[in-house]
Order: sequence, then C-alpha cells, then structure tokens
Amino acid sequence: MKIHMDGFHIPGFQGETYIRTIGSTQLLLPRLTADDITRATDHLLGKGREILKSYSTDDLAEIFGMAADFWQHKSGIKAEVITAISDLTGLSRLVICESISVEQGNSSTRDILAAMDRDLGSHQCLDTFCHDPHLNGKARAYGPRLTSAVLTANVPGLSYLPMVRALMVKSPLIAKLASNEPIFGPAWIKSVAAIEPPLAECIALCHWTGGNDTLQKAMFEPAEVVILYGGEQTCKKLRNVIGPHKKIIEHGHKIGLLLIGQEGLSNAGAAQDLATRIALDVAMFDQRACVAPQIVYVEKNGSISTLELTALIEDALINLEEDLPPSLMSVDTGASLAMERNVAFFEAAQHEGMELFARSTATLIHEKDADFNTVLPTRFLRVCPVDSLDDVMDILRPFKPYLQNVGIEVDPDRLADLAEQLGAMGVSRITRPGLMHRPSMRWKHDGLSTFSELVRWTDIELEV
Amino acid sequence: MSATTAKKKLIDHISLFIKDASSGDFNSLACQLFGYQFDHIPFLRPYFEKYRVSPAKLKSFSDIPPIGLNIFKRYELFDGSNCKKTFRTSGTSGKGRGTSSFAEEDLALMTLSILENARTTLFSDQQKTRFMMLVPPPSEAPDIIMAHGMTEIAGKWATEPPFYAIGNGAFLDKEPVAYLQKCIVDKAPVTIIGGSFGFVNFIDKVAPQLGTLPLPPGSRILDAGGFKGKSKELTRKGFLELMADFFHLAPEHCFNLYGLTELGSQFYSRGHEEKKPPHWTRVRICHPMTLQEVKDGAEGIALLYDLTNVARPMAILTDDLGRRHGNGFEITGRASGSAPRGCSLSLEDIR
Repeated sequence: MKIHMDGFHIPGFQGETYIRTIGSTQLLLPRLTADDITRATDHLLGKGREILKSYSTDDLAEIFGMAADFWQHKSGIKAEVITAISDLTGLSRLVICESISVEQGNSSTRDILAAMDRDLGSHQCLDTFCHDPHLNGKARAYGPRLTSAVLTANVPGLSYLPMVRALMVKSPLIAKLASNEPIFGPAWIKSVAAIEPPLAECIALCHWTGGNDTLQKAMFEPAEVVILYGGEQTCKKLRNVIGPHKKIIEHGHKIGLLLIGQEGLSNAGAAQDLATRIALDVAMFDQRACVAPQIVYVEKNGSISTLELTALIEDALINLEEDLPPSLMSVDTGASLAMERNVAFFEAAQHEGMELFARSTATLIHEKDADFNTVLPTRFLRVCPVDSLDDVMDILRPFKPYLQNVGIEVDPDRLADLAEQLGAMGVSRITRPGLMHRPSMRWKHDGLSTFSELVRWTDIELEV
Repeated sequence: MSATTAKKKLIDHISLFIKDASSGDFNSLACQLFGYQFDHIPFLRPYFEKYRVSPAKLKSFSDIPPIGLNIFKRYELFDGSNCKKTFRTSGTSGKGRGTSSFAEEDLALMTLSILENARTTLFSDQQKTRFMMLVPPPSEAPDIIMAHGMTEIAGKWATEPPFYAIGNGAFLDKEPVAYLQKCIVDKAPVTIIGGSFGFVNFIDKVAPQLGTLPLPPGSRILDAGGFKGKSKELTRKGFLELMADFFHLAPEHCFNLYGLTELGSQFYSRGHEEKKPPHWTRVRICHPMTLQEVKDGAEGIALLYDLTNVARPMAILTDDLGRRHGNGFEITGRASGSAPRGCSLSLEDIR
C-alpha cells in the first residue's frame, strides 16, 4: 500500500509540486522559487504574527503538550509517518517510534513552561509586562518578528523542537527541512493544526535539495534570528549566506562520551546493568544523535575488567537488536565499517591489550591506550581504559568546542569534582549512563538558554 | 629452505603459471604463497593467527584473511628483500598514502604480469602503435605505479618512444594536438593512455577549436581511475560516447583499467564489457559484513587476490564497490568511509 506524505508545509502555497517515490512512500514536494519564499515570509510576518499575538504562552504550551501527547500514542497517522521516515532514512520503524516517543515524552506542557521559566524567569513575560523581582519594575520579552531555521536530518522527530521554541516566543518560523527527512515537521504542524487550526498559518516548512543560495537568502533575509543545525562546514557556508548582522543560534555537530569509574564495575551485576544502559544510549537514535556516546573512558582496576565490560556492552547491543532493530545498512556504509573493523582487527593482532569485538551490528574497539577518536555511527564504541578519570581531561581539552553530553558512572562524592572539570571544558549536560538519550526539554541545549537567545527585552524602571 | 630460495622457487612457479595457465593451479599456488607470506612478511603472522588461519590449515585462497587498504597506510608490509622501488598511493582513498615496495625480482614478476595482461587484452591484435601518454613521465612521477606500468607497456608495444602530453603537472600547450594530427597524417595508429578524468580534461580543452580528432584505424585508448571525487562525473556509457564523438573510436577500441598501487596486476575491460580477472588473479565481490560472496549482480565490496604480490600481501580488501557478472565484474564506486550521521560529530568534519 502506498503512503502519501507531504514533504513541506507552506501556508497558501500555489506553486508547482512533484512526487518522489521512496519504497512505499509517495512524497509530495514543492518546486520553490525565491518569490514563493517571499510570499511565505510576508504571510508569516502578517497573518502569522497576528495569530500568535492572540494566544497566551499558557495556551500555546497546552496545545503543544496535547500534540506531544498525540505523538506518544499509537495512531494510523503515526504509523504512516514512521513508515515514511523509515523508507527515507533506512532507520528501523521501532527505532523511529521509540525516538519520537522519547522526544515527545520530554515535551509536555509542564516541560515547555518549566524550560521557559528556567530561561526567562517567567514565561508570562512574553504575554505582558511582569514584575521582575531583581528589578525595581517590570519586564517584558518579545520574540523575533520572524525566525528562520535550517533543520537537521536523521534524528527522527527532532524537527519539532525549533518550531515549539519559536512559536512559544510568539515568533512565526520559516525553515528548510532536512532534504532526506522532510516528513516529521509537516506531520507535527498538522497535528497541531488538528488541535488549533490557526497555528498552521504561523509556520512555513520548505524543501529543496542541496544548497541553494537564492532560496536560502530569501528565507534568511526577513528573519531577525536564524537557528542552524548542521556540521562545521555546512554552518560555515550558511553563515556566509546569512551575512554578518543577524543573530545566529547554532547547534553544530557534537560528541557524547561516557566516563565510568571503577566503582561502576564493582561486581558482575552492576557491570551487566551498566552495559545494558550504555547499549540503550547507543542504540536509541541508532547512534546518529549528538547525545549518543562514541567513546567510553573506563577506569582500570574495577572488579570487572575493562575488557569484560566491553564484552558485556557487545552482548547488550546484540540483545537490543530485537527491540531497537538497527538501520538497513547500505553497501557503502557496510564497506566503510568493514574497513574500520579490518584495521582494528589487524591492530589488535599487533598490540597487547587492544581487542576488537565485532558481532552482528555491534562494533566495539577496546583500545590499548586512551585517545579521542570518533566512530562511524553504526552502533560502534571505542572503549579506552584509563588509570583515573582525571586523566581524561587532558585528552578532551583539544576538542572542547565539540563536547556535549557526558554520561558518568561514579560514586556521588566524585561527581562534583568531575562535573566541575567537564563543565569548564564546555560539556553542556552531565547525566547517568542510560539517560544520555533522553535530555529533557529543560536542558540548556548545547549550553544555551534557547528561549533567552530568541527574545529581546523591554524593562519598565520607574524607580531606581 | 631459506627465504630467498623459497621466494625464488615461488616466483619461478608463478611466472610459469602466468605464461601458461595449464602449468599449475591458482589455489595451490595461492596456498603456497600464503605460507611464504605467513613466515616472511612482518605483521601478517599475528594477524593470520588471530583469525586462526595457518598454512597447515588453509585449503582455499578465499579463506586467506585479507589486508585492508588502510593498513598499508600504517604499516610497511614488505618481505624485507632488497627494496629496489617503492610506489605510493595517490591518497585519494581516505587519509594518508599507502606504500608498496618491490625488490628486483618482484618488479620483474609485475612486468611479466603487465605485459602478459596487455598482450591478451589491449594488444590482443598484436598491433604495435605510437603512444601518447596523458600521464606524467616516470621521471616526474617516480612513485606512481601507473606511470611505471604504462612505460613498460610502451616499451613493448610502441613503434617509437612515447609522447608525454603532460609536463610539469600540466597539459602541454599545442604539442599534444600536433602529435595526434601527425599520427593522422601519417596514418599511424596511436594508443592514448591516461586517467579517465585526464581524457575529459584534454577533450574539454581542445574540442572547442578542433571539433573532433578522428584517430587512424588501429588506434585505441586506455583510461584508468574513474571520476570519483572529480568536478565532472561521467558514466561509462557517457565516456565511451565521448570517445566515439571526439576520436571516432568504437567502444571495442576503448579499454578501461582497474588497478591499485598495492597490487602487481591489473584488470582490463573492453568497451561496455565487464572486467575479466587474468588467470593468476581472483576477484570476489563480497558482503561487507560477512565477506562471503554475494549473488551474481548484487553489489558488494571487492576482494582481490594476486599471485604477483609475493613480497606484499596477496589478499587485499579494497574500499571499492562492485558487482560480479559471471566470470567478470564491474567496479561501481568507492566506499565513502562514512555512515548516515545526524548531529553526531565526526572528526573528519573538523580536521
């Protein structure tokens, strides 16, 4: 049975469209011109802004909370969206389903408002002037007249996040969808429109393949703030198109790590439980998310050896293949992984202490010495034994701008000191293994107060 | 038996086998060669032992654990004979350059393979021709194996010293066209040899003035390398059409060569046909995860086995993708070295 999906959402769009067929999915896509983009931004700046002004932040959070609730339950629409994303990205349906559930599970009304209150003091400052306890007066925040964004691919369900953030600060949003996953964004705004139809007028989600400076310029030019997701090179190119005088909120590619103290390996049961949690963090988004770990630094001298832990993680990854099946591997990816495994096996034959664990789709390299090397995101971990977790800091230092999530398994009395060092290094979230894959909406994403970054303020100071 | 004696004996057998397929058996020679490499090429023994493969246990060449190309970038894999020549990879396949070392006797074996291969494919009509090279002369590219091999071929099949159209890293200005025009006037067939992209570059450069340059009967071209990573990509069909349009060469006079610096032998295809491994080599197109052969027509990763690699590993895991078609194969691309990646960092992105 064919599934028909929209790969864009542009209010009032009358232009040309075409169908792209991938597997069982027929994807409707637009052929956009710069004029189409300009018509869309004019619409958002006019009608979109007016509509958003008519809602309170409490109303909006309630609507988005209801949408989050919808996506956590089974439905025909959700099943079709999952199948279509699977067709386009190769990710397994169960991984996509779980990813959407995890993402949306962190986005309840309460989560959204709490995240805003963390950033802004009070979310109601976007509705009216509010008393500010730190100011002898009142303060009010205003979102951008228009926000534009370039969205990420491969992490299913993530495209809703900048939409929620922009709309919550009452800023209409125009975004370019990831060319290989333009499904979830339009489906999410449809789910919102099913609850509150006017909000469909406040978002435009565009699709084109590759870089197109003309369309990008038309999208960026009328926006006050631009949100970028992408790798170092992509963001660099986009910054050049955006120009120097516009605020850019950038979420570049990042790396997740694990730090395991010897106390985490005090007995077989603890090690088994730890391995299961680590495997879940790896498998959840099929390791394509920045929150997924790529390197595990483990202290030697635990009751369970670092080699034994590596074998346990391998087992746990294999055990997860049923509940979270791996993506279909292309010949290209498979060949690239085969080369990685081949080198690792050869090196392991030459060096005592190095070992390759490669079974089914799990790949783990137990390194001889601790180092910093990323992996092919194919359920692949490097396990680096260290004498002390303190030794890891020097290894991480050259990569400060890229550190993000760190899962730590140590006794509570060691956490503060390690957190202090990691925080100074630029790590933006520290959590336990097994929770890396579910950052809450309240987390200061990449160390940024994402709502604060979007708004500007007006203070009323009648007394000084 | 000393290493030198063992090597000489092996090379003698393999040389005879190259000249006369009925003199031996590929699998038996491959197993003997494995035994030599197990003992004499540094770093290989622990690797083979880790795979639990030993000369005593080996029954089939296909059980020899292959050496991936990336390993050549990290290790000097050579049997320690007196090194006469070291070739280097171009570095187009991932980071770093691999090396491939040859002793005098290895070079002689490679030359035999090159000439025998050319005799049965590129010059199966036994016609000698003039040569124009779209590759730099060996003096300018002493460590490029293709430049070496092409010089060997020209030495055997050229009617006069080859003309090199490239000097100091760039096409010469007017001389290449003048050389080909003289071939036309003299009705002297010419063989043009170069990188696939070099042909396209050359034609792009001269076609606006010339229109076409119909080569004399008996002429042929040999291209190698393909278009991966180049600014302009052509399919094989498109490339052959370009040769027909510009040089008036029918597909059967256009040959493509697939070779690696790490390998002493090469694989030719003619026109639209698939590549045929010479009888002293084997090509297995395998599933990348299991390294078991895929079905005919299915895409996989290419594993190459070459008896002329005596001093260097004979079983190579390439990063080339291909399909098997009966006794032949085609190369369809090269592994990107990457995997779909969301917002998860790759060091390649920031280096």
